[in-house]
Amino acid sequence: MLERSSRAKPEFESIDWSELNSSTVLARIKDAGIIGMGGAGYPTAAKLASGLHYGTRHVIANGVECEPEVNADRSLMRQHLEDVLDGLRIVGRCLDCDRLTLAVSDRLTYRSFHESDIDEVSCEIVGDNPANGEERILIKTLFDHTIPSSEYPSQHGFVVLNVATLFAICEAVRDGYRPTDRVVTVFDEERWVDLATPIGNLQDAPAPVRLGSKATGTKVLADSALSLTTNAVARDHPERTRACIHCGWCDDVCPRSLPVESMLRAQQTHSRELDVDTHYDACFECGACVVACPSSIPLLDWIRQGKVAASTKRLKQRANERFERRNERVSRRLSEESSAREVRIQTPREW
Amino acid sequence: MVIDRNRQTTSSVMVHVMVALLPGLVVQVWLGDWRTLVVIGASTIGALLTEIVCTRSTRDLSDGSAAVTGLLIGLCLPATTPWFVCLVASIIAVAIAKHAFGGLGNNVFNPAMAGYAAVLLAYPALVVEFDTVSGATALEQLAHRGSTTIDEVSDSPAFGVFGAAMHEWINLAFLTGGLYLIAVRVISSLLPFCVIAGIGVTAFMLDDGGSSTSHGSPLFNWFAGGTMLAAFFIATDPVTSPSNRMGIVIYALGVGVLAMLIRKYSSWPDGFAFAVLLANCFVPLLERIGRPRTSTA
Ligand code: SF4
Ligand code: SF4
Repeated sequence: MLERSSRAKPEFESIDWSELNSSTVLARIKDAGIIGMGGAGYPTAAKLASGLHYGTRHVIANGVECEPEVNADRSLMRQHLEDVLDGLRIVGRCLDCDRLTLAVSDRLTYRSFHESDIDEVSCEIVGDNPANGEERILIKTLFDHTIPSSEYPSQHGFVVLNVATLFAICEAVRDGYRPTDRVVTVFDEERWVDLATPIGNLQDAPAPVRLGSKATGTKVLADSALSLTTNAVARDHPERTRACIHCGWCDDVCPRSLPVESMLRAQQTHSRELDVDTHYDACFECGACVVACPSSIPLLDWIRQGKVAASTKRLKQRANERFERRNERVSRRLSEESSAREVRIQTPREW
Repeated sequence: MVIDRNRQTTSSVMVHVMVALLPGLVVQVWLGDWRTLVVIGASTIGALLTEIVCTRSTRDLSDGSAAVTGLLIGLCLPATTPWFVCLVASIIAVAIAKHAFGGLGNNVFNPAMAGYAAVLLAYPALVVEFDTVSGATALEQLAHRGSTTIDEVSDSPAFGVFGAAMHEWINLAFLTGGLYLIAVRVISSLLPFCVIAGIGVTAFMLDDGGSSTSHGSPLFNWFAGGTMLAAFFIATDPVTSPSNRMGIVIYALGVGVLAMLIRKYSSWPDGFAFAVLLANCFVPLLERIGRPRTSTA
């Protein structure tokens, strides 16, 4: 069992199951400041409101933790499965939806779910591959329903919430706590960590770290603090990076079939010949390519750089187009004015 | 979709390659000549030293690519090669074919084959395989046989049960090592089998049933010379082969077909070194075929 430091008195009144209704739950979730704790940080109250608006057929607890070497959600489920499920039931009650699914990727949770006597919720196990944690792909795997990337799952009647988020919802609604701590994989070990702990305090000697898994995290300074969305703190690339040997493994593993190697090369060489700009946004940062790369290249760092560069390029292009249109407008007006003047000059005046 | 590939690093890949080369090496020493060991030792040491000189540090030795280059050169050169020729081959391989092009990952030509081909051209007399038991090897007898027919030649002791004497077993051992590499997912099966198919189809089309210009059956050609070594260990070098599927197929078939054509129509007994180097020239072109792929999402 992981140790959790004791907390102050609950900040809110606890809400009774019998008087649970959409507006009280939504207001509480909003007041407690709960956001998507899987990493995206989308405000949960907004997600639920949109679920209410469109009508929800399925609520899915996303326990498919597929980032390499991160086990925060898994250990949370091991310790507090009942609370996570209560969170799921609360959301179900709030959205008036009775099809509740817990999706997991590890056998242990799956087995302990089925050994205990749990009602209202069904549990599905999905393959442990880096793509399955993404909500659209999870919905596709579970219900064979495709959601275009331009639309939200809630528009199709699906609400997917991370298990840590559900745990926070349960504590906020049932017990009246604002989330002040969470389970984090700190250097390959799971612990309850108080939020706003400087990362420097988690390690003996300050060293560069990544917020998130080794493969998908972003590099931060040692004094940065943790947030609700941080599920892991990892050491920054212990292995030495070598040159790309063009093995193509990154391309092979990418769940989106992106030309990862070309994207890397485009970033490293600033080559204009490779037209890969359109691919950056399709990358959902699963980290599969980073894990596969035999040369330990931090591919995601390069891809993120590419994303920024590509969007800057688009903005510049748009600004240029606007500027050209304006120039055209101005010159047209000038020429119109001057021709009108010509006409005026040419016309003999009548006295 | 191959997602759960075992976590591998460049060094662990090279260790797998060395393990996979072992059976072939053992058979080659066992059936052939102990001097093979000297040749392999000289080329490997030459390659490692050159790597140290070129990078001015021992840091990059751990990725094993220099060692594998030296090993491959040693396995290609005949046992009778003088040690200094081995050194020249490995120096050319590492210093010119690899580091002059910008180091690991940027080289256009397969280093091992560039080194081997260089000494093949520079010291033709010293790099001819001539073993004490059977005289010239089967492929050399075929290359320089004048007007004798295939049946007459194949009576000579240079021919074995189904391939070339001794080389059939060496090839079988390299085939085993190659299958091991596929099993541990260091290489994909597509490339080597396309090389083998290229050899097979060309040999089949050139095989007219045994006239004086015929060059033997596909089976003979698969198990003669350096076929399996080249198909599984040399052509598969990730740096100098395409990374997209279509490119791989064209590249590998090209290697097989070219090698077979060189075997038959040139005075060189085996054509893999030149076939691989020629195919290397087309890799930048082949890389364009499959790129950039469109996203499926
Ligand atoms: S490119 Fe993006 S989507 Fe593809 S494997 Fe890498 S991180 Fe995942
Ligand atoms: S996996 Fe790594 S070494 Fe291989 S092609 Fe991709 S970036 Fe290069």
